[in-house]
Parts: sequence; structure tokens; C-alpha cells
Amino acid sequence: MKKPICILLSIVLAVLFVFSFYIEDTHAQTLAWGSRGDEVSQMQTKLRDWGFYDGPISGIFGELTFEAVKKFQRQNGLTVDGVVGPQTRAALGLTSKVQPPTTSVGSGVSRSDDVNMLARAIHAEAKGEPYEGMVAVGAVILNRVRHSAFPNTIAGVVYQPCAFEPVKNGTINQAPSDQAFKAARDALNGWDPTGGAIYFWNPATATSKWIWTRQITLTIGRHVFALE
Amino acid sequence: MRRYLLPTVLVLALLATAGWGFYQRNQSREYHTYLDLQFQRQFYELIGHVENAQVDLSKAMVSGSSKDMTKYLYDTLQQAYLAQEKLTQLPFHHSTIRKTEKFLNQLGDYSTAMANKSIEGITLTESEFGTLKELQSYANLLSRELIEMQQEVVSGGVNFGDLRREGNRDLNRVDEQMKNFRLISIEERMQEYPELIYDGPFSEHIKDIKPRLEGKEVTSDEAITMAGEALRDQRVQNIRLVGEIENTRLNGYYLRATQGNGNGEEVSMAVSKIGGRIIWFLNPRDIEESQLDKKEAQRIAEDFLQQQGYKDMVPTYTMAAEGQMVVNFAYKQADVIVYSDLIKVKVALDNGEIIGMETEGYLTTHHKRDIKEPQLSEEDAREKLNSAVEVEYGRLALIPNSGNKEILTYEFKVKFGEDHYLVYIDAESGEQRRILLMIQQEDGTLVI
Repeated sequence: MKKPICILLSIVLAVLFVFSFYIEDTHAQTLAWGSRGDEVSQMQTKLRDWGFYDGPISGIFGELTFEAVKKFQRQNGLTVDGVVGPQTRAALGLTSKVQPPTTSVGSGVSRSDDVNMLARAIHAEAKGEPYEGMVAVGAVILNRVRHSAFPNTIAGVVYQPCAFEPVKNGTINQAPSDQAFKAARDALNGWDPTGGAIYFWNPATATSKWIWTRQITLTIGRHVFALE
Repeated sequence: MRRYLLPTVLVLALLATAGWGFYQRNQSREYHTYLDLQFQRQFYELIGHVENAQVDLSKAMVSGSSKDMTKYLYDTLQQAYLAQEKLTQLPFHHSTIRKTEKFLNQLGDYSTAMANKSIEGITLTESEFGTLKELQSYANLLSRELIEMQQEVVSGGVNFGDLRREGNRDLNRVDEQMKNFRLISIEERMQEYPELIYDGPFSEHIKDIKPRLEGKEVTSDEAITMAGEALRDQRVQNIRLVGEIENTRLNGYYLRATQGNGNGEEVSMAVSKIGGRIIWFLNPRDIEESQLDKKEAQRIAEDFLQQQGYKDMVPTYTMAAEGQMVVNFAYKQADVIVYSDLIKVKVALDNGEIIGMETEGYLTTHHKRDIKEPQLSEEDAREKLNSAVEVEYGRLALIPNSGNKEILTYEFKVKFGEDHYLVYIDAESGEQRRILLMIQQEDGTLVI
């Protein structure tokens, strides 16, 4: 009697395991440190009206907002993590409409999409690298945009097949950290620690021999940077 | 009864797994086919664009008037651009297609440069015509090779979906495949085409530009001392050498240091080997709530530059975001703004500290220029502006053109509708050289 139950249980578990692959992570727009956009402003307004928050309604989830969210969570018996997930969202009375985070735009054109794209690429490629190493990865992408042997747009360079590992494995879609945003902005503002490099690789994982025939400019953290 | 339970459950489980596996396999095959077809479509389009570029270029050369020629040259640009865009999104490793990509980019770029010339009524020289002819024959060669490759694709010799998968596993093997695949031979042929020198961003001469920075070569120890002195007020201490920056236009030492308030914040910088100047400096510390307004921050940045020994620098635009403000400075010679000699300074808005600096533009291009008297008066230049705009100011500015040559212009800040623009009128010919749209955001002014 005991044995079949064990087997049955393990089969059920196995089936559940298989089906768990089908459960996609549902993106109900979790707001956390670094988020920005209308929803953040909405949340800041609510938190201010209720006396948890006394900073500006900036649409940027920074330290003040983080503390305010924690205070709110503590008072409402929610998990105090400073992250606005589904529960905190419901308690705040925010509509769970999914909206892409956007920064406010002056008159139709902006670079904020570039910042976003670049920050994601930096975050995926250079997590855990020194700050200048993150700026350097951003600079390489921008140098490629300006280089004749590469695509002429940021998206074209980032999504070029066989170019970046995180594009192949999907980590490019992760939300970038604050540092990555900062690094992306510095790179767009013209900081280039690489001296004009258009290649970088991690010697521990790079398999191509060809890449070592490039002219190396310098090494930052785990990455080697090189020219044509 | 009980003894059938186990077999039945197992059989059911097996069937379920088999069904699931079958479904998965079908699905992955569908994706695979879909991907392959997408790549094939792009490949076909690539061939089409290369052929069109080649044809448009030949039409440009045959055209009787400069007007028609300009039109076909712009068509060539467009087709070359599209071809390049298609090629870069096919699953080839960069090292196997970079020459072809470069060719397509230069083809478009050179056509633009020639179109711009003929639009101004300048007849192309014999050698420029020669270059166009040569480019056309290479485009012809490329399209023929691509068509032969297409035959192989159609006959099933090549599956882009497979290529993509192989590429994930081992790029060297894709390169192996490529050898049978003609791309390598195309690449080799592309190597032979001549170096192109012209007024465009992809011209060969641009990478050979020598920096203007002069001075004696410093050792790493001297560089560390000089950096320490330059950033003394930023409480940068314990500077140490991490590596050297080589093979670049502006070689230097890569240094790291701690910031003096004792909590172990790391900052980094590069100091040029020639002259020991700071090329870039970055302090990535967290920024607290803003205490300074933008005027104060700008003054701090100006004082800092003065202190670094950079004279006659004027702030041109500023941008603030996330508690930090970047101030752009350009050199001013007599009453002319020299935009190539650019320095950026980043100020933390919480305590007014300098948290970043970038001088590469200045160090590579700065020198005393021989600026000619403008042929046009400011009044004459103003006449060239669109009559619908409101002029806010005008001044002389030396701006780099796309080929990195400098041209003397009048810079006018104008208002049209809600937006502000910077319009540059050539001080010699009165041609409009460039327009920039200024975006006023709450965090500053952006110029694009």
C-alpha cells in the first residue's frame, strides 16, 4: 500500500515539475528601486497624501520612496521589503494596469529609450564589474554604432546575432540596476574609458582565437577591451 | 485490482510524457522553420538591396545633370544602408562579415559625400568618378556572389536556423561552415578595395588623426602624483596603477583610488602618458538629495576647470539627472566658440563635489587655430535663416563637419513654434551646415 502511494506522489510531482515550465513569470509591473514612470508618481502622490512620504513627486523610485514604501508596508502588516509587488500594490490601491515605464518627454524626441536599452545591455554584460567597466561596455556599444563595420543604431548593435551572450540567453530583458543606468548615462554623455574600443571579452570564457588578434587597449575588471 | 494500479499509472504517465514530448518537438520545429524563413527573407532582401545599390550607382554615373546624379546617389545611400542593416541581422559571426559590412557602409557614406558635393554644384573630379566606378564593380561582384550563395540556400545546403544553433555552441564551427559558404571568399575580395578618403564619418583618414596634445612623456609614478595634485580638493587618495591604456590615440595610465571620506568609495581615472593630463575621471558614489541649484553647480564646474589650468572655456550646455549635473565646456578663441575642444565636468548636486571629468575631445583636438575673418557679416548670415524663425542670438562657432574638418559658421539659436534650434550657417558660403534641435527637459537642455 505504501509503495504505490509513494510512486503516485512522485509521478504527480514529476508532472507538476514539467508543467511548472509552462507557468510564465507574469509581469505585473513590480515597482522597485530604480523604477520610473507615471505609476511611480501615482504611488508617490498616494504615499504623500497618507503621510508616509515627504519627497518630491519625481516619478523616480529612489531612496526616499523606498523608505516610504517600507514604512507603509510595516504599518499595513505586509512584508517589509520596499518592493511594490502585487500585495503592496493592492494595499496602495494602485491599478494593476501594465504600463511600460517611461520618463517624461519634452516635445516628442528623447534619448530615454537609448538610456534604457544601453542600461539593460550594460546590466546584463557587466554585472559585478567595477563602475568604469560598466561605462566601458556602454562605450563599446556606442563606438560600434559609429563604426563602419557594425550596425548604425544602438538596438542594431545590441541585438546583432552572435554578438552578445545576454541577448542569446535572454538576460538582456532583466531590469537594469541603478548603477547600470548611471553608467549608460555617462557613456551617452561621452565618457569612454576604453579609448575607442569596439570589442571586449572575458578571457575566462572567450572561445574565439580570432578575438585575440585584435589590438588590446586595456583590461578593466574581468574584461579585455580592444580596437580593430 | 490493486496490483493493476501501479502499471496503469505508469502507462498513463508514459503516454502523457510521450504526448508532451511530441508536442514540444513539433513546436520547436515550427520555431526553427519560422526562424529559418525569417533569415531567408532577410537574405533575399539583402541581395535585392545590393543589386539596387549597384544599379543606382551606375545610373548616377550616367546621369547628365548634377541634379539627377544627386538623386541617384541618395538612392544608392538608401539601398546600401538597407543592405547593411539586413546583413548585420543575419546570424553570421562578426569576423566573417565585417569587411562586407564596412564596404556597404562606405558605399553609402561615399555616395552621400559625393551627393553633397554635387548638390552644391561642385563637379566631381576624375578620381572621384574612378572611385565610384570601382565601388560599383565591387557592388556588382558582391551581388553576384550573394546570388550564388542564394542557390545553395535554396537547394537546401544551408539552413539558417541550424546556423543559428551552431553559432550558439561554437562560433569557430560557423566560421568553418562559412568557408564552404562563399562569405569568406567575398570577404577576401572585399579586402582589396581601395582606402577611401572623403568627407564622411566612415572615411579612412579619421582613425589616423594624431592628437594635438604636446608635452613630455610621464612615468606612471609621475602620473599618480599629477593626478593626486589635480584631484586634491576631491579628497582622492591612495592612487594606484591598475593598467596601461595602449594602442589608442591617447595612451595613458588607468588608475584607481579611494575617496577620502573613509568609507572605502573607489574612484577611477586615466592619465595621459604625454603631459600627464586627466583623460577621464569617474566617481560613482551614491548621490543624496540635491542641495545645490544648477547655477551654483555650473559655477563650481567653471572654478574646477580654471584650477586645472584650462583657460578660456565657456559652458555650452548642461544636463542634470539623478542628482548629478554634467556641464559641457567648449574652448573660445577670440570670439569664436570651438566645439571640437570639448570638456565635460560632472558635479554632484548634493554637496557640490566634482564627480566626473572627460577631456578626450579637448586633448586630441586643442591647438591654436588660424581662424580667418568671416566672409559674411552676421547680418548677411541671418538673412539666410528661414523667415519663420525667431532669432535669440547669433555668434561665431567653429564646428567639425562629418569628415572631421572644421568650418567657421555663425551659430544662431532660434525659436520655431515651441522648440528651440541651433542653426549653423557657413560664414564663408552662407550654406546651412547643420541644425540641432534642443530639447528642454525638466532636468536640463539636451542638444541633438
